Amino acid sequence: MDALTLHSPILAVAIPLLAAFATPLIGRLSSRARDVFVIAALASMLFVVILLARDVYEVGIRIYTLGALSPSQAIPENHMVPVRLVFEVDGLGALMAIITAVVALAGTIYSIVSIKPETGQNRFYALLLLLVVGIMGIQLTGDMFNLFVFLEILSISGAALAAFRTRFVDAVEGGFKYLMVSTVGALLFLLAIGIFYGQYNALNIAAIASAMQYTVLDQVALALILAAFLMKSGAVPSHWWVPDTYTPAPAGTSPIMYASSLACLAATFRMLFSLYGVQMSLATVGWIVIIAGVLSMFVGVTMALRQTDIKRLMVYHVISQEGYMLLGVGVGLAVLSNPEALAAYGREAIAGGLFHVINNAFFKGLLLLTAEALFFRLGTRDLNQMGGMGRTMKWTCAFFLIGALAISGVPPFNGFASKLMIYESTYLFNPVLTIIALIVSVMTLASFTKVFQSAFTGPALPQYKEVREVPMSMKLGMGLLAAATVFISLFPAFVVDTIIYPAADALLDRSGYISAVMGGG
Amino acid sequence: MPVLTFWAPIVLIIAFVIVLVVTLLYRSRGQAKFKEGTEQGEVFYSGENVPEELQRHVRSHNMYWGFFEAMKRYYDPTVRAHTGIVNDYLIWLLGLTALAGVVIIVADLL
Repeated sequence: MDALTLHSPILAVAIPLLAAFATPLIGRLSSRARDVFVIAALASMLFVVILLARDVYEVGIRIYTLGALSPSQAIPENHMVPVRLVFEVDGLGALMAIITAVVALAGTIYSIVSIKPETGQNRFYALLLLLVVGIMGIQLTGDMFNLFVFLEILSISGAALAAFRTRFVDAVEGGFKYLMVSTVGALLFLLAIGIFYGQYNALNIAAIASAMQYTVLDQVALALILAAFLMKSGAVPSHWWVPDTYTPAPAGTSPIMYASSLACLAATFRMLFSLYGVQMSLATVGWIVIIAGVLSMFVGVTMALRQTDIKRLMVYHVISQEGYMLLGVGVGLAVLSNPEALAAYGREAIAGGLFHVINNAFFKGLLLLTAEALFFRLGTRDLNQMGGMGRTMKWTCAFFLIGALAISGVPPFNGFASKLMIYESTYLFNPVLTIIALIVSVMTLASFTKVFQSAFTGPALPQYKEVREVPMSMKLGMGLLAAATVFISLFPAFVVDTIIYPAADALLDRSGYISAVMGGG
Repeated sequence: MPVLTFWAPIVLIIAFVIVLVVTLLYRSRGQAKFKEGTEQGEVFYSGENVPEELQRHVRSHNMYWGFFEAMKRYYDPTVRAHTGIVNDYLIWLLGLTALAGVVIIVADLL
């Protein structure tokens, strides 16, 4: 077990990577064996991630240097900076790895049946596992160029998955758009990496952070990084691709693709807090993040409210909910150099934002799966064509209600707990922001009331009288995310204490992040 | 953990269960004359003939019509901006990059 824990950072990436290449080979032998293999690989990854997270929470930041005699030896002898690939896992990395592992497992279990009608299933699972590799790598790496590589793996596999159901024109278009914006975004990030390498002769995040001078070039790099990652996470005003890409994506991939957006959001936080930290103009950058958050919340929810395509409506809520996360973390960033404000509400705001990340990964992922369950049975995403499905699809209806009440911030669900943390802390910073957030929450409830009324209530429509509940594996996938949502709803304080505050403190402890690699802590 | 100390979902759930039990007890005592499967269980539509299922269900596009009308001045330009053209997406991305760069550099100079 100790050896497993020791190598857990690399295993969390290596397991899905090796499985991605083995899956098409096993699929040639038997599709059933392939399905079991993929689930087993992702369950093993979840186990390894739990070991890693437990170690991080008990011991502290984990360093894993590839190719070194000892994984903890980040800087080789006779060198001043790390020259090998270094994985650096702190509380934030552990939190995001847990999210990724749970969501990937739920989405894949759901896909076992939902993807059956499609051809090319071997390729589907290979791409899905590569997407997981990209997400996991972004969370765990401590190296800028390595981050870029994982970002590319994520983008290419994500675009291919979005376009997987090629018989739908919008799927191909969505995949193409995702590839285009991702490529330009990745090039912006690559340019920023070049700027750092030119100035500091280093690619390791901690090494660059320790040498950071915040020159004009660093400021240009900051703008490039902010734009690239905010676009990848789907924040307004660079959110345009999100509904086009996520809406036609195959059923089980939706929550995993959403997790990829959250991974990019977490990478934004990593760059702002651990790479730049107090050296940048905190009020300016903090307000940029806050404004992006407020715009995302408002534009996302108002656009969602008028949609009649159930999946597109839910995808606009992806944008809206990310606004809450940006708002919370942005407030914490804006007061980072003010110890009193940070202690009074800044840390709480960051924790609220991060708590909303994990909550959303589960209940938003659940809602996306319920939308796909309706599409799977009815063959349409048009809410105008739906009605009375609560009579025949009782499990799907129950899962939808859990997700809808949670995302709308209705007590006692977990969405309420994280939103409450954001409301209370942002109110002390600027009450206007809290009022906007409250209005957005009301509109979110209105939006999901519309979906519930249109799809699940009303008389049983004649054309859907033969419709049955979705198969067991799809119910299991939804059930896993619903169980996670209910668990956090029942024990919010336990979750916040155990995994949220360590993640928030990891963002605040820039010197700890640097010294874990560079020494001298 | 100051924010969550007063927030105990278990207490709320216990209160909900108590209210639910009381409601069900109260409901179980009502209308002994009710007979299932008779016209007593039919839909009441203000004395009018009940339309067929397809006409009876309020469709999604009918909901919040007044809100969208009132917010027309917001919705018209916002919806128009969502062109669906990838060239526009890239222009927004590059514009955002330039704007962020200018704001960050100017803020540092001030």
